[in-house]
Formats: sequence, C-alpha cells, structure tokens
Amino acid sequence: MRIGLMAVAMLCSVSNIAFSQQWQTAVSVNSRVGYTSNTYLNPYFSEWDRTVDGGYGTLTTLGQAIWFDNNNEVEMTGGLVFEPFLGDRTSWNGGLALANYRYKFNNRISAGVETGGSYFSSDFKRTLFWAQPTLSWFPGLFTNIKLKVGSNFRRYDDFVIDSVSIDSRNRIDLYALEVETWPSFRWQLTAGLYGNLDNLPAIGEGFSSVATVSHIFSGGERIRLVLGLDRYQNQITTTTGGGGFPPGGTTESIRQTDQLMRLGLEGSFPVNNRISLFLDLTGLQYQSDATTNNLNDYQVSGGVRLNFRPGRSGGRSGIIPEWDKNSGRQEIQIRYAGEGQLYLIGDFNNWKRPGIPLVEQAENRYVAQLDLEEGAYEYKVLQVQGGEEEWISFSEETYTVDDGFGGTNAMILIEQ
Amino acid sequence: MKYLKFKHILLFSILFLVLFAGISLHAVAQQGSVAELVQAAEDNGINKTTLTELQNRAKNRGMSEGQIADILKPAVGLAEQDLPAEHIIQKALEGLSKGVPNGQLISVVSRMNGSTQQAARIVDPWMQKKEVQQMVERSDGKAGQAGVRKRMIEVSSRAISRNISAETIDQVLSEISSESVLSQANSSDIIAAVNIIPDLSAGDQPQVAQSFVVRALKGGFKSGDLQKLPMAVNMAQKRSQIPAAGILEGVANQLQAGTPAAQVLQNLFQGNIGGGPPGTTPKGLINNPGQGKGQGQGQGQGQGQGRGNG
Repeated sequence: MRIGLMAVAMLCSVSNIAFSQQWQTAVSVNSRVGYTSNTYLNPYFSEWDRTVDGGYGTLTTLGQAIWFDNNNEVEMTGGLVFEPFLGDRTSWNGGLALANYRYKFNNRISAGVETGGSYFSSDFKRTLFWAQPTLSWFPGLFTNIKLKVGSNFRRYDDFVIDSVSIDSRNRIDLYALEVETWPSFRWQLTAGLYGNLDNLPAIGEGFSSVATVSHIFSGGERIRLVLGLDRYQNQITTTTGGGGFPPGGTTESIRQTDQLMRLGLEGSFPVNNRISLFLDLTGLQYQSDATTNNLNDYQVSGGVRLNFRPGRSGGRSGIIPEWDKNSGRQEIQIRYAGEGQLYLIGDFNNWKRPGIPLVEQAENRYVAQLDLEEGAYEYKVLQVQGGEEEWISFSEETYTVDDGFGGTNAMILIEQ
Repeated sequence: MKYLKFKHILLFSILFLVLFAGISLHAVAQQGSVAELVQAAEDNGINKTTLTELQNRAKNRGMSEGQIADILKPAVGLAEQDLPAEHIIQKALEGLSKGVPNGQLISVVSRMNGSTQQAARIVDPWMQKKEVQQMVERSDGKAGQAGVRKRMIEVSSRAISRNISAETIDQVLSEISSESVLSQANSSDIIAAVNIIPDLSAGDQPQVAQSFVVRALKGGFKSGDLQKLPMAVNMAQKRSQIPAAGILEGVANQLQAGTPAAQVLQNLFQGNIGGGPPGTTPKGLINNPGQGKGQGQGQGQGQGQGRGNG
C-alpha cells in the first residue's frame, strides 16, 4: 500500500514538473473475474497452490506518467490491486510502482535503468524490489533487442510451510534477453529469456522463457498466443536407513529438474477509445524427472478495462490540430490558451494573410470549416494580436513537413 | 567653341535617347514576357486568380519583372508539357507570404521544376501499368486518371526535392505494383505512402523508409493511417521504442499517442512487469508441486528462476 501511495505521489509530481516538456499520462482501471486450478496462474498472486478453490476477481487501478525530450525519457507507473478470492483465502491486496529511465544515444542504441517494487499481503506478505540496467539495440525500425542485468530482492513474511510460519529474504542476480520484432504492421513477435547470473554459462540449469505471437486487426482487436517454458533445478537431499547407533543411514543428494510449459491465448476487443473487453485462456503443464505424473492446470478469465488520459496539453510545446473529415466537408479544431485571433493559412487560400479565421466556439477551442477537394494541403496557423502576426508552432505529434524554405508546415491529406 | 558646345549637347542627347530608349524597350520586352507567360500559363490551365494573386503580391514585395518571370517560366514550362504546375505557384505564394528572400524563393521554384520533371519520368510509366490503371479506375473512375497522375507527380516531386532519390521512388512504386497490394489499396493510399517517405525519421536511410511504406501498404494501411506514420516514428524513436507498436495503437485510436502506456499497462494487468523481472521458483512449487503453499513435504532448495510477478 505504501508503494502504491508513493507511486501516486510520484505521478502527480512528474506531471507538474514536466508540463513544459513532452509528457503523457494515462490511467487504466481493470476489472477481471476468473477461475484457475492453480493459483500460480493467477495474475499478481502467482504462488503455487493447487489445493484451494481457484475462483478470483481483481480490481486494478494503474496510472502512468511519461516525460521525455530528444534523448531522455522517464516513465513512472504505479497502482493498487485488490484481489478477492472466492474461497476461504484472505484477499490479496497491494500496490506496485515502476520507474524507468532511458537515454537515447542515437536511433539505434539506448541505455537506461528499470527499477520497481511491489508489496502484497494476504495470509502472508511478499515484498519485491528490483533494479536492472538495460541496453537496447534497434537493428532496424522493426526490431529491438534488449539486454538487462540486475538484482532482484524478495522478502516473504509469515509464509507457512508445514504449519510453520517462515520469514525469508533473498537476493538474486539476474539477466534478461528480450527480442521484439514486427514482420509487418499487423504481426508482432516477442521472445524473452530470463535466468540467474550464477547459472551462466550453463543456461539449461534454470531459466524462464516466453514467446508470443500477436496479430492486431484493423479495428484494434488483438489476439496473442503465448508459449512459455520455465525450468528449475532443485537439489534434493534424502536420508535412508539408520536411525540407531552407530549411524548407518545413507544420505543421498540428487538433482531434480522441473519444467513448466505454458500455452496461452489472449484476446482483447476495443469497444471504443476508452473501453475494451478481454479474455484470457491459459494451460500449464508441470513435468518433473522425479515423477512420471504430469500435472495439468488451467486458467480462464475475462473482464473489462477502462482507459483515461487525464492530462495532455499542447501547452508550450505547440498546438495539435484535430481534423474531422467524415462529414464531406472538413473541420479543424485547435485547442489554444493564448491571446489574440487565430487564422488558418495554406495551400487552400493561396497563402493569403491573415487567412481563414478560426472561431472560438468554446473556451480555448478554435474551429474552422473548409470545403477542400482531394489532395495534400500544407498549412500553418497565424496568431494576430495588436497588429503583430506570429506563426504558432505545432506539437511534435502533428504531421509536419519541411517547407523548403527552412521551416515547417503542417500537412493534411484529403481523400475521397 | 560654339560648335564644340553644340557637338557635346548633341552627343549627350543622342546618348540619353539611346539609353532611355534601351531601358524602355527592355522594360516593355520584360512586361511583355511576364504578360505572355501569364497568358501562356492561363492557356495551359493554371488558375487565373492564382496567377493574378502571385503577380500582385510579387509586385507589392518589390520583385522585379525578371524575378516574376523566373517564377512563372518553370510553371509555364511544366504546364506546356502537361505536367502539374500549380504546386510551383503555390510554393511561390507561400514564400511571398512568409517573407522568404526573392533569391531563395526563385531557387526553390527552380528546384521544384527539376524534381517535377524527374517525378513525371517515374510516375508516367507506372501509371501505364495495367494493374495501376485498374486500381485507379476502381477508386477514382476512368475520369480520375489525370487527377491521380497530377497528385502522384506532385508528391513524388516533393520527395525528390527533399533528397529522396528518384530510384527510391521508382522502387517503392514497383514494389507496390503487384496485384495483391493494388487490389486492396486505392489511389489515395498510394499517394499518401509516397508523400510520407521524406517525412519519416528514417529519411536518412531511404531504403528503410521505403521498406516502411511498402510494409504499411501491404499491411492494408489506408491513407489516414499512413499520415500517422511519420509522427509515430518520430515519437517512438525519441522514446527508444519500436515505431510499429506506436503506429498500430495510433491507428487503432486507443489512447492516441499513449501507446507505450497501453503496452506497459497491458503487461502489468497480466501480472507481468514488462517481461520481467525474473524471480525464483514459486515457493509452493519448491515444497510440493502437487499441493501448494503450506502443504508440501519436500526439502529441496530452489536454484532456478522464473519470470516474476507483482
């Protein structure tokens, strides 16, 4: 909970600090109900338990603020999770926070650090913290290869084993290699390999891996196939015989290898800009060389997600023209909080000053209607105040083109 | 003495008359040349109002007749060859509106003349292809061929004048000439694709920009989507992310430019924190995979690791 509150505070401060820079914020609320035969497949809880009724629900609120300029990016994410179980188990509640920083050396290489932490409590408490420097390489516009090396700190309190409550703390030094590539704009492939640095170079002694194939449809619907393979090796020590005096028992130590294979199918369907529905199906198979019996588990869940963008402003970083071309004619809307009268000037009026007046229809919202034929039109927005004329700059999110004279124009394509 | 004085006066008078007449004749000749150019421009379909606007503004700016002629000549030349010319007049009007120095303005217009002719040499053979004609006829009707050609030449010219080689434009057009692409695209999509090539951040690597727009068209992107590519690439590269992800979110209109936010949040909602960090063997699994927390009997010590969860 403390981490969650800290995250919210950080988000607020970042939004304020970054107002004069490029920044974005987003808030999402996610509600899910599901059933799993093994709570290992439960999002957030993810602890191996096949003995309890696996019905669950989650209500998650996450916020994110991103600030960036030409070379630096800071990404802060935080949220709270409320996860009630249908059985006797106490709800699993907590919060998480992430803070990532990236520095772009050039369009191909960037480096940074990813940090985060979470705290959850139920019958037991689990605290995680991690920090991992990252190095990203973009061999092309469609591929990213990321290497991470860092430490992960874990703490369990009141975790019950054999009716004995155990507190534990450990630190693991980890590596991660992630690859993302887009064969086309509709297909995304990702793969990740995660492991303990102590195991290198014998990766096979223990690792976690995941590969995904996603297809994105034109309406924003997304379907994703997830394949996962985790491998764990445990040192098992057993003592047989003996018990009397002198000790005659035999102590034997064997290495046991367990594997988890995961197959998942996820789908999401955007109802509109703010609401999307999702459905997840996951199958899990546990294999061990200690037994011939495989264990099969599954998880099914679905829910609804609400997305909000509470703050995004042209502010000092420029205006964002919004075009509505659906009604046969064209309407341009501009949010502008400055003084003076705004005019639209471009190919459509022979660049004649001052241009087509943008009428203030609501507070800080300026509108003009045009009747353009098919084609590409370059334009600018002119501010006139007290006889002074000044070009208004566009935000970096606006499609602008080089005007050939050392400046830029915005461009709009009018199609049939 | 009187004879000498008379001789000097006569000489100066003749010199004055010659100079005056020469200047006047030159001016008339120039005036005639601008007038002729305007007439020729009109005769070749350039809008009269636009031409008048150009003349008036140029004169008000103090441009000489010769400088006005330098703007008009390329436009007339293009129009006489049945090539688009109004974009040159528009660029001149833009330059005048922005107060661009006369020399720079004429230089830009001159470059546009060359790039338009280069563009036409690429676009015209492409327009003759059967698949292209079918696509144009399907999307614009038979009468639309001329309009599509004009816009294709204009956008190709703009790309060439922005240092995209004619070969790159040619390659893009030939790569998208297959029936599989043209059958699902219309002329606006193709025009938008060529139009954005110089504006992609990968403009310094034309082959990458070329690959980008070809993939977009093959992926079924429409002109409205294509317009978002330069912005999405620019934003993604600023943020060291793969542009494709940003583009898709932009196209899908979800969270608009907040793509990465959507992706990171998606991972978090799945319980995964951006694909990491890896963690240790689940405690319940260590102790007894068949049962669970607090129920196991095993005594193993976990050595492996898995992806972590919040």
